[in-house]
Amino acid sequence: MNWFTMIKQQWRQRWRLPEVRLMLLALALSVTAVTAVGFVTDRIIFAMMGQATELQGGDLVLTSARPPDPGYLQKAQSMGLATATVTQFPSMVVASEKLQLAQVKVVSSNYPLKGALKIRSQSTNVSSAVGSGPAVGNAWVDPRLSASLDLLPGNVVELGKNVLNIDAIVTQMPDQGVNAFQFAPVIVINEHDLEATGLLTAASRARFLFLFAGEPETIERYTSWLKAQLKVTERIRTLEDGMPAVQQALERAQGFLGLAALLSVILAGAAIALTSHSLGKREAKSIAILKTLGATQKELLWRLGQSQMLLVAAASLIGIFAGFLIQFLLGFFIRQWIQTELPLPGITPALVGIGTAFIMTLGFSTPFLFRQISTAPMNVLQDRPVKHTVAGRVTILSALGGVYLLMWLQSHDLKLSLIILVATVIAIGLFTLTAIILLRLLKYIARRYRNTRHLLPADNARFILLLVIFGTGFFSLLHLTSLRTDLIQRWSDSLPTNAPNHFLVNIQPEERETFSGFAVNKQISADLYPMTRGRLVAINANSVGPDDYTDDRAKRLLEREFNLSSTARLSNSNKIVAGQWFSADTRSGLSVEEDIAKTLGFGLGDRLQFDIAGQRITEQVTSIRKVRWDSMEPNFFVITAPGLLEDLPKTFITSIYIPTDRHGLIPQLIDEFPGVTVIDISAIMQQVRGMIDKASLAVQSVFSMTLIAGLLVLYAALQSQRRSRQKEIAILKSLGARKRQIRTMLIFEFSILGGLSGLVAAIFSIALSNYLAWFLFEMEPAFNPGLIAFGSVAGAVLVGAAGYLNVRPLLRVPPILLLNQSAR
Amino acid sequence: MNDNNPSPVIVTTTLGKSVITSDQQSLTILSEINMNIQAGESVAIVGASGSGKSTLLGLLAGLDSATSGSVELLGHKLEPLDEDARAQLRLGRVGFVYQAFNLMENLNALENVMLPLELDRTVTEIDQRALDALCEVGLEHRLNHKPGQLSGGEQQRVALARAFVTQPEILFADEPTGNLDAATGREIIERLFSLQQQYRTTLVMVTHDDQLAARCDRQLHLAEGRFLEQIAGQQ
Repeated sequence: MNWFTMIKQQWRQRWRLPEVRLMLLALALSVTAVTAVGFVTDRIIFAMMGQATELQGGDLVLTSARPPDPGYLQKAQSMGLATATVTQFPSMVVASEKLQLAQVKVVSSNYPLKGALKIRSQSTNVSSAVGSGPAVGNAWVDPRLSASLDLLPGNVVELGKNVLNIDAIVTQMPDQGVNAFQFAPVIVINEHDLEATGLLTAASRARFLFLFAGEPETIERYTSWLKAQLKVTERIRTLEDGMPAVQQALERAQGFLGLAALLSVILAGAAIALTSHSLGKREAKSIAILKTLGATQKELLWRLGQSQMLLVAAASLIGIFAGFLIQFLLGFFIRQWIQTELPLPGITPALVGIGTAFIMTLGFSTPFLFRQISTAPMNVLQDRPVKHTVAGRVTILSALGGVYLLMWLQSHDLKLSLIILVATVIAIGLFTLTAIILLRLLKYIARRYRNTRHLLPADNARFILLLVIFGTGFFSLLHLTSLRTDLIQRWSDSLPTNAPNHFLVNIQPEERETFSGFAVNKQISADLYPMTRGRLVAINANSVGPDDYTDDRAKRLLEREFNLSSTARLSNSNKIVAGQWFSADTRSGLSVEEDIAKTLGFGLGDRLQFDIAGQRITEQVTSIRKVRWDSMEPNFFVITAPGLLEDLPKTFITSIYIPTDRHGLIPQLIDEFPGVTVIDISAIMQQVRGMIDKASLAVQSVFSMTLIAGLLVLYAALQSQRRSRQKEIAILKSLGARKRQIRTMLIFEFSILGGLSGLVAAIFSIALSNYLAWFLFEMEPAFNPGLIAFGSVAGAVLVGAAGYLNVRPLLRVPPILLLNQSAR
Repeated sequence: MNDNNPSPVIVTTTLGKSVITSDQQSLTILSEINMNIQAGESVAIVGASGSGKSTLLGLLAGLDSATSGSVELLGHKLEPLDEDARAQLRLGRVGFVYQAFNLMENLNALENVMLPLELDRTVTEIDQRALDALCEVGLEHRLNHKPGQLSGGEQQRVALARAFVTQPEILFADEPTGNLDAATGREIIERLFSLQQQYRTTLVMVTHDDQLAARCDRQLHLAEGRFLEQIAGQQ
């Protein structure tokens, strides 16, 4: 017999077993869920990453205080990457005898590599996207520089020794996010005009940027090469540096998507385990018969192993195909919705799919078969109860190992996988305990009221098993639902439609009163925060400098001055995580942001010394804050007690919301307060909003995949108990039970089962959601009583209806047929 | 309960059963079965494997529907009755003992015996009656054991207790000793006949054991779906 015929024959034999068919379905559906989640996540995350790189102008950005080695560019080009350079330094710009300090941005001809560059030229008053920077001899200025120097396209400016034509007003630059808080207005010039200005010398305080773009794999290879070459002054810019808001949104989305995929896997795992359990029981007799016919354990193992692998292969093929199809459809709708081209998914989800099928079979199915192989055939043939103490433990360990491996496969995060595994085990333990207590309670009640006993579940073990499965399933889904709701709510809260879209800086102390009057007059809400620049010079009387730290971020923080502020009111985007916020009469102390405290290695109670324009102030850290950087409010690393900055040189900063139809307010404001710098962040806001929309959609689509996995478990669990139900219904019918009686029993049992699973699941879900929300997503804890009611009712209705519908066909079959079937 | 005047509790007229096979052919399992069984009588239906014994038993008990002819059980024609009405007819009046015991796996002995009583809302003292029934079969020390913890003989004794607990008018037994060793089989048969006598229950038993069949008042021989007497008559 050739190999193919053997496989075909074996498959035909196996296919006859209903459990094998169900197992294939369960396996294929889990592979579908995992691959579809993987494909969708891949595409959406890729799209989100793409948008993020647009915000920084390239896939990879190298920044340096010294001109970097041009060899970096040559190497990148030789690898097929696109490159661009940007050089930035402050300089005076002169126009019609007016002077203004500006940020000069020198760009190469192919800048930007990613993201949109928009300008408004003389001929038209509408912004349009352009593919490259200004031509040689031309310069672009931003609206602020245009306003302060009365510059219009067609005018000329002096920049050092060079004279340049103003060609256009630049309205949007890709790396605006990065530069949102550079207070000077911007002038953009071509790199070939730089030398003629004579401005850039070795002593200039300039920042050099190399931008790279290309295929993700090439970028990855190049990044690792580049990292090995980096000098002290050079570093690779990450998203976090410039756009904590975007980074946070991205991290939250990834965290959620990973979690949703993990839960899908756990749910699918439960379905496989259930089916395997029934399959093991079904196979027991044939294994015993084969043994009596002389088959050795090794032969049996080989035989079963082969058919298991056949199952894995078939399930993988079907699952990957279906998963790809689903992501294709989903991708189509997502693309319509978000109006963005979605990149194609990678091959990894397909490999994860195969791995999932393999691990699931190995972890959940094989132990049951092993157990049958190792059982003495007479025990099986004579239907003797066998105690599988050791084998039972192996089965549990193997299933847990399988779950852990699957979770790791999804998240690549050992710690997160462990947390979820432990939570799942605790949940299973809790559900088992609840089920046992509840059964006892039901039996106690039933004993007291006659004619109710027959309503009790006929099979205690099955009731407990189903309660654990439904409980765990509901728990996963409810948990995910509440997380999803929280997450999306949190995002829309963090960027309400009237979130500030302009920052106003440089408001002088003497302008404070008039400015507040102006704001009230124009009905703008504006909280003014004092801002003083100071350098951190000592921690606990030990002087500190950049050289004391190895961490790049720490070095950078100490190289520049901090923006210190002082306020009595803690804004909503700040949360105290340690210590106490200033009370009404506090006149000393500092509140610091937690990441910066961690980076620089100080904490509550430490004394920090700042040099503020030659004056030294020393204060103790009295609180540590967590800051939501995506709130678009002015936020500070260091806030001093109210009044501490009173006598020190300072300016004020605020953020305001100006609706698009009131844009005329800006020129009025500039007229009245010429010294105030207005920073328009609506473009960044729009970009951040776009990303959040994508992330929300991703969350919704992945969530629906998890729901499907949940329904699969429900189906598998119901199918797994159908055989034993069949026999019970037959016996009851032969004893004279009417259909209505049986129906009442079934609906009662399933509803009680579902209601209880939902109740326990909701309670547990609220507890875990709060823990994880705080741990993973940095959200506030919340109690949701509606979830408990929803969990119980939805569980009772869903399981009651699905359970009854699943066994309803059995009610119609004549009892003699049921008996014949169950005896088979 | 039976009255003292014997009257037929089961009557069949030209009863037949055929099924459609997987290749769409009609296969006749039973045909032209005419019989009368009187109250309190014990009847053995004997015949080789595949002769249609169990199918006949199922039809007589209303667990299956005939394709031709009719069955009258306890004075009711079964054909016009739907499944529920047939179940209602059986409730408390018909008991079963099967070769494969057919106990509820996860109910203990006492709960298994209580089951038919619980299905009938008019019955009282369920616990006591079930307990008495188990005592009668000598299982008072195994009340809380589940079928998996009982021997084959013990399981069949639980099945007997379950069958007799409602003091049924008719007991259908399908190869009741088929899964038991000879000694245990004998013990079960002794108990079965003793209970049958005690409650004057009509017994319809399917068996291929001639000795067991000989203990019944009457034997009906089935071959190829028909009674041998009928075959002989036709020849």
